[in-house]
Parts: sequence; C-alpha cells; structure tokens
Amino acid sequence: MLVGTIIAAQMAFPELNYLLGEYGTFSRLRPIHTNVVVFGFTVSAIFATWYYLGQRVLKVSMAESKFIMVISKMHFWLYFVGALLGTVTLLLGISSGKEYAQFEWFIDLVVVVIWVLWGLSMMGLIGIRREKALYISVWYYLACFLGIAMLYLFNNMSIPTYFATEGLGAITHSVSMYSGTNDALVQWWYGHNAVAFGFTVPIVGMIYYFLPKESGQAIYSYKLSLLSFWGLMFVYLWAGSHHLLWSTVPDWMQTMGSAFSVVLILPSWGSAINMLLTMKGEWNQLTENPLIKFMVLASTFYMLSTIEGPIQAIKSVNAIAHFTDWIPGHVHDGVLGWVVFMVMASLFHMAPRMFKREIYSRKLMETQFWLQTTAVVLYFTSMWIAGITQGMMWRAVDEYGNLMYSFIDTVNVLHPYYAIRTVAGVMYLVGFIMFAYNMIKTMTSAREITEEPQFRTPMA
Amino acid sequence: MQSNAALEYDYSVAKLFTYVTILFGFLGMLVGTIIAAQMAFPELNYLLGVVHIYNNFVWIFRYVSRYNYCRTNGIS
Repeated sequence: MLVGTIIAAQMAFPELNYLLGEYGTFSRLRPIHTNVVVFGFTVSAIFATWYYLGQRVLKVSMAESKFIMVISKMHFWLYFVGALLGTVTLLLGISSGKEYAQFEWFIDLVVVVIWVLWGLSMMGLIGIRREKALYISVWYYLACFLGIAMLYLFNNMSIPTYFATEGLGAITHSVSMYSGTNDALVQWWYGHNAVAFGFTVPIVGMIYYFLPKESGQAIYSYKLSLLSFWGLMFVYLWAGSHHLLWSTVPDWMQTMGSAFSVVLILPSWGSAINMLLTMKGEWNQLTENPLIKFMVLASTFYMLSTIEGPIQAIKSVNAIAHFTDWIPGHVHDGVLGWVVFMVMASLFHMAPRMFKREIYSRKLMETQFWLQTTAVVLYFTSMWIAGITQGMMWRAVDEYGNLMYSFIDTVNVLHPYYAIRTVAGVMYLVGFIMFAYNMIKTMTSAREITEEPQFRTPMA
Repeated sequence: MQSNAALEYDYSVAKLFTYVTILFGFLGMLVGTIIAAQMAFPELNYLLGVVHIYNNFVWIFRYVSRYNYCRTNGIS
C-alpha cells in the first residue's frame, strides 16, 4: 500500500520518480558546501569571537545591558533558524543561481534582519564601553559588519517573480535586478569581497586579539596595523573584476582589477608580518604551545594565499588559471590554512575561559595540527598540478592550430589529482572531528580550573 | 562608575555561537569532502543509493501496471 500510494503520487507528479535522486548530486551539494562553510561555519565563528572578545576589549559586560542581552539572544536564534532554513532551501534546489549568493529573496530578508541585530548588539556594546580607545580588532569587526551589509544588499537586489507578475511563477523564485555583464560585475564585486569581508577582515580581527593574548606579546607595530587596515579597506573593494578577466567586461576594468589585486599584497602582508614580528624573540613558544603553532601557521598561510591570489589575477597568468582547479586550490589554502586554523585556535583559546576547564588533550591537538597541515598541503599541491595541467591542455594546439585535447582527455588526466584531493579532504575532516571532540570534552569533562589563565591556555 | 574589580563577562551568547560553529564546520567540511570524492568518482553522485531505489520503483511500477492490466482485463 505504501508503494501503491507512492506510485499513485508518481502518476500525478512524475517528478516524484526522482524522490531522493537529486539530493545527493554534486549540483545540490556544492552550494550547500560553500554556503554552510561561509554563512554557517565562518560567520558563526565571527559572532562567537565577537561576543567573547568584544566585551573584553571594550571592558564592559553584556550583562550590564538588558537590551544587548535580548538583542544578542534574538540574534543567535534567528541566525540559527535562518542558517538551517537556508541550507534546506538549497537542498531543495531553491537557488538564485549566483555563486555564494544562492539564497533566494526570502532567505535574504532573514539574513538582513540577522545582520541588523548583530549591528545593534555590537554598536550597543561599543556605545556603553568603558575603554574609550577602540582596539584594532574592533575596527576589523566593524568593517566586516559594514562591508558585508553593503555587499549583500547590492548583490542580492532582485525582483520576486510571483509579485512582479501578479501570481505567475514560483513564490520562491526571483530575478536579479542587474542584467548581463552588469550582473556579472556586481556578482564578482560581491563574490570577491565576501572573501575580503568574511574570510579576511574578521579573521585578521581575531588574530590581532588572540595571538597577543595567547603569547603574552604586545602587537609589534601599531602604525603597521593602521596602514594595513586602511590599505585593505581601500584596495580590496576594487579587485573583484579580476574574476572576469578575458570576459565582456570593459578592458580598463579588467586592468583595474588586476592592478588593485597586485597592490593588495601590501596590506595583506602588512598584517601577516605584523603577526610574525609580534612573536619576535619568542619563537620558543612555537615548540611549547600548540596554539601558537596554529596561529603562526594561519598567518603563514595567509601570506601564501595573498601572494598566490595576485599572481592569478595577472592577466597572462589568468589566461591559464581561469576556470581551472588551481582556483579552488587557491581558495582552500586560504580557507583551510588560514580561516579554519585561526577559528579553531580562537575557540581553543576561548574554551577554558568560558567553561572554566582546561583543554582536554594537548596530544590530540598536536596530532590534529599535523594531520590537517598535511591535508592542506596535499589539497593545494594536487590542485596546483591539476589546474595548470588543465589550463595548458585547454590551450594546447598542434602545428595546424587544431586543439590537441578534447574535454574528456583532461578529465582522464585529472582523475588522480581529484583522488588525492579527496584523501586530503578526509584527513582534514578527521582533524576537524578531533577538534570537535577535544572541544566537547573540554566543555564537559576536562579538569576544572579555578583562576582564569592569563596568557597561555592550560591543557592536559 | 570606573571600577578596578574584574568584570564578570557574559559568555552565554559566545557559547551558543561556539556550538554552532563546530556543528556547521563539521557539516560544511563533510559535504566538501563528499563533493571532492564525487569529482574523482562520479558514481558517488548517487551516494544514497537512490538510483537503485529509483530503479526498484520503476520495476515495481512496471510490475504493478502489468498486474493492473491483467486484472482489469480479467474483470471485463
């Protein structure tokens, strides 16, 4: 009877023939992957670290304001429901089709409310602060707030089809307010700066707080932090058109995107070098404290990623790199090496101070570090080789100018590198599970501490 | 208002977001690993075995339709 009911429904709605079939496919899972790691993982880490360090650098407790407590609780719950809702709609295939901006218009509206709530609680806390000077990290969190607000609003401007056509079309569907090349330009202005204001700015904000706190060292140079901050703010927003090199975008815009991308090395390396110089004379900590290792590796991968990006944005290099696996290779040495490492280090630093227990296992942390470091190296090296091979094969011509390879030739050649990438993914994921386990154990059953640790995080 | 006593910070919201960071980190990276595998081994697109389920439905459907065909003919 069950099957009968199902086939009865299938007679009426033939798409039920594919009842589960579509949900496990690459096309559904890929947007889920990108959106969950960006809007699920990274953004919640930004909020978690803000709600931890915001109070501390402003020298004010959230509990002092009922308004902030209420707003921030609302912020969390709406965020959590919104993130789940977004994930489910993507799984159902409800998508605006713009990369990293797939959430449809009704999810976008929820995102706007979430963001405003965060803004209210952040500005509110800044408003009642005792410490008048805003620490560097606060600039970065503010920039993250303003940057994402602007980018998200402009790129997701769209007309819900249902309302525009007085009832025709799905309620879940919308059409972008921009068209053609303009749409592409707005999209990549957004896409690139989502990386800037989601994966760079707030993470730099984290390292500016957590590295000095963990190491007991003052930031090497205040001037360098000023230069890097304003440099990043000014330069990053112009670099997006490097995603559209060799396209229908006007030539001068492509050149501008390239030029600004190369200039970006300066503020990026400014921050990273400031971090490394903060450790000057204290490099012994690298061997003594695994958390310092996480943070130093993170800023080193930040340097690697921010020299690699500008190289890919040079027009002649981009002619080979564009559309190849070198691009996800670049993205992942940035996010796996820099973003996730810094986030995990931050949460490891926060845990004993929030839960009043020491870190459950230092040994597990060390193992995790080496496992994940190896994974990142395997990921980007395999994708570098795959990408450049792919790019060269697409361009290869014989003596008469005929293309030498068909698409399937590249697929066959790339197979081993995809397999290596999968192994790297499994290793990294296992490392993350070790992190999660260590964190859960720290929250629940590690040895309790009576006094808050001043610098170095205590671990068993 | 200024006091030198250590402040009692409120970490309730920071804790909530910490839990969710771990949850979404795991989910996001799990899916990332799955799609990486799908790039290397395309048949994993049907990871849930749904193609088989789908095929089974097709067979059952055919069986039922034939049975139905026989039945209606038997009756009439």
